[in-house]
Amino acid sequence: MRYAYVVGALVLLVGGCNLWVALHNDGIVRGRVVQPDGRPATGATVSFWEKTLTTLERRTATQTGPDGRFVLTGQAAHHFALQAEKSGLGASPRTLYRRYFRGQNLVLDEPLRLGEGR
Amino acid sequence: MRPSRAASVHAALIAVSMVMLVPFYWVLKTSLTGENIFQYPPALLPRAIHPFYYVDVWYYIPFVRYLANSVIVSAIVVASNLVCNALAAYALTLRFRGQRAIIGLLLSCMLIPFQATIIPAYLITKELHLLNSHLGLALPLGSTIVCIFVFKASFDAIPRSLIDAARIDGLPEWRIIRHVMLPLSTSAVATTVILSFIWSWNSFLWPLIVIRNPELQTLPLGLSTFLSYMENTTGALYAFCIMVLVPGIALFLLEQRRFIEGLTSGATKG
Repeated sequence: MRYAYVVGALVLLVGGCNLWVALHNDGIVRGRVVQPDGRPATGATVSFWEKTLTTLERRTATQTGPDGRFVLTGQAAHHFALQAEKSGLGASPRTLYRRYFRGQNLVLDEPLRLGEGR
Repeated sequence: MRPSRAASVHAALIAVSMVMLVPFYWVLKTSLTGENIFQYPPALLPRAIHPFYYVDVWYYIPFVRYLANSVIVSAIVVASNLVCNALAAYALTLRFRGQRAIIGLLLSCMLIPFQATIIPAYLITKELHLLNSHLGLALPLGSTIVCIFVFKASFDAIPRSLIDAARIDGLPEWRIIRHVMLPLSTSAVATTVILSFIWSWNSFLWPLIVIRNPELQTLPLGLSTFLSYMENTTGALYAFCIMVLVPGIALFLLEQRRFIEGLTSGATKG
């Protein structure tokens, strides 16, 4: 009976987790880019770098809109870095992010701030 | 035992248990924090806990494939041990000429370390064309002498009258084992399952020698591969260790009562 409970609980847990993952794995990353003074950075380029076992590999890039917001889609990497840059305003630090599973939809809490990176 | 004395004994046992659990706690803590294990003074309590090292292990290496291979090999080993050891133990409970010599031979074979027999084991596996296969991985652990004696101790404790009654009823020997001996030896079965599972699960040297195909690597081999190419290993390595340990611990926890009964059965037989 104990085995039935344990196996049943595991099946429920794994099934629930897989369902959650299936519903939230579009690989969308949303965030904002701001200028050094805190105003939204329009037209900044945001690069997506996938962290592999040994290095960071650039995968894609996008541009921010008029409100400084950007959306990256279809990026499955669970460990990645983002960096924003705009000519005249410099670049943001290349910041590492982690996801709980591949393709997890993510909204960044903090904006990428231009002028603080190299 | 007086309550005060019992309390002090329990306190001492708890203290010893805590000391023995410290390494496991440390591994678990490091897998959740990734802190430097050489940090001084060490932090007793984990800070900034996160599960990302487990996520790294899951995605950076083919963990599911390693897990599946380990499960397949362990299942073969457990099944083989249950069948072969029960048959051998039943034979040893019967009276026949040379029985003591065979028991002595088996006991003396226990003194030979596996490393000393690894070349003949490899050659036999090669002749059987089982290199690079799950069956070849399971072969050397297919029957273990310790488990034969665990079964023998359990079978010896079963009254002979039951076996005689089964024979009078016309049961063949293999059905006596299946329907009389094994149902009365659940502790021995549990002990054999746990011991053979853990030995197979942790086996490293044999898979390292017989497996060439990366698709057939088991968890311990995966761990060594992981170590060889992971740059910063601390957190992910410990997360891997926890993920390797969990199935064995879960099996033990599910069957610990029978496991302990099985190991001690026959110990007090007069």
